[in-house]
Amino acid sequence: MSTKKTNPDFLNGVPELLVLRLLAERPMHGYDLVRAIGTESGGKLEFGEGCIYPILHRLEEGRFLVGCRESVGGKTRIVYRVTRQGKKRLAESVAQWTDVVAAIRTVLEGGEHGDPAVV
Amino acid sequence: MAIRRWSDRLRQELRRRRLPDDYVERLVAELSDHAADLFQENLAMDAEHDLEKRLGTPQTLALAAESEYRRRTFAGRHPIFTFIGGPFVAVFAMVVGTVTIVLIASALVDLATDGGLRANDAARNPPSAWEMALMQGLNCIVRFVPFGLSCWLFFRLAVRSGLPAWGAVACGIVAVLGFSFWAAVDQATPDAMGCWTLGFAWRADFDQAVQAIVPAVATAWLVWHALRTPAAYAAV
Repeated sequence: MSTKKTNPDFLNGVPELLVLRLLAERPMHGYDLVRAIGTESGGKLEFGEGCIYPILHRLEEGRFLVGCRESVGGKTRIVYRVTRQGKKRLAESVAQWTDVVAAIRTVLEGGEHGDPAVV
Repeated sequence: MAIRRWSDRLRQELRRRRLPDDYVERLVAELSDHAADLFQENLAMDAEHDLEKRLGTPQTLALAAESEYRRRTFAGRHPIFTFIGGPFVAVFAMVVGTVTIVLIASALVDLATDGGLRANDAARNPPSAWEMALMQGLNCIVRFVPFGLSCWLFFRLAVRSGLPAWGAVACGIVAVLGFSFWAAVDQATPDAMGCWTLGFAWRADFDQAVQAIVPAVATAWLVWHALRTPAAYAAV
């Protein structure tokens, strides 16, 4: 797996969005979540898998997630679930991301002739 | 063995970045579990090098962990507001608060002594030695407590947020404010009433220097701490 350079400002909030989105579907532990990101993105999103944990801990601290130690396949793992506050945050992040995508599409399709997008 | 070695290196790196022990231990435990799952899934993977390729190097992870940890706190998200604006607000509020408490305390003493403090009159009934000592004691509280408390507040905030350089800036501001503050009790004389004066002014005398000692020591400690912290996060 190669180290990819990203624009942290531009992609700010994307890992959080993915984590909330996938955990909203079903509770998962870190390893499961990393695999889900790989599967759901068709293997297009690659990153240092360990970096997911600090994000999970921050979201847990912000009460967007709760983590509980549970038995999973005979092993004890911390399983994360989205809280009501997390679902609200997810809805906001999805709306924001949709606006960004729409704005970029407008620019790529010749924005000066189209309606300006509000981001 | 590879997991143990990798975990030890990660733990060392996280501690070098002054992250709290409970946070470090939880992160290392979860990443070790993750590594164990990786090994279970891929039996051909047995070297530390493979682990680093999948999970990230201890340095990369520690950097990400520190960055995320800082984002958890208000101070980490708004350092300028907290560590530059904060000291002025905190010192002002604490000076006002301490003066109010001192005035209430002296009013209670006055009440307990049947108006003894109010009855002082320079010519006929000058304050006794214990009354003067009491006033000097209360004056010392106003001179030292606001700066000591403000300094403690920003020191704790800086350490908890992992922002020693910003903490040094805040404690430095508190030290300057402490050095500028003066409060004095003048005993009544037959010709003049006694008075208690407070204010901010650059008189640069020994008393003001003493007021700045605690914040100055905290500033020096935080600067030293910041210099020992890895470069990427030591800078303000």
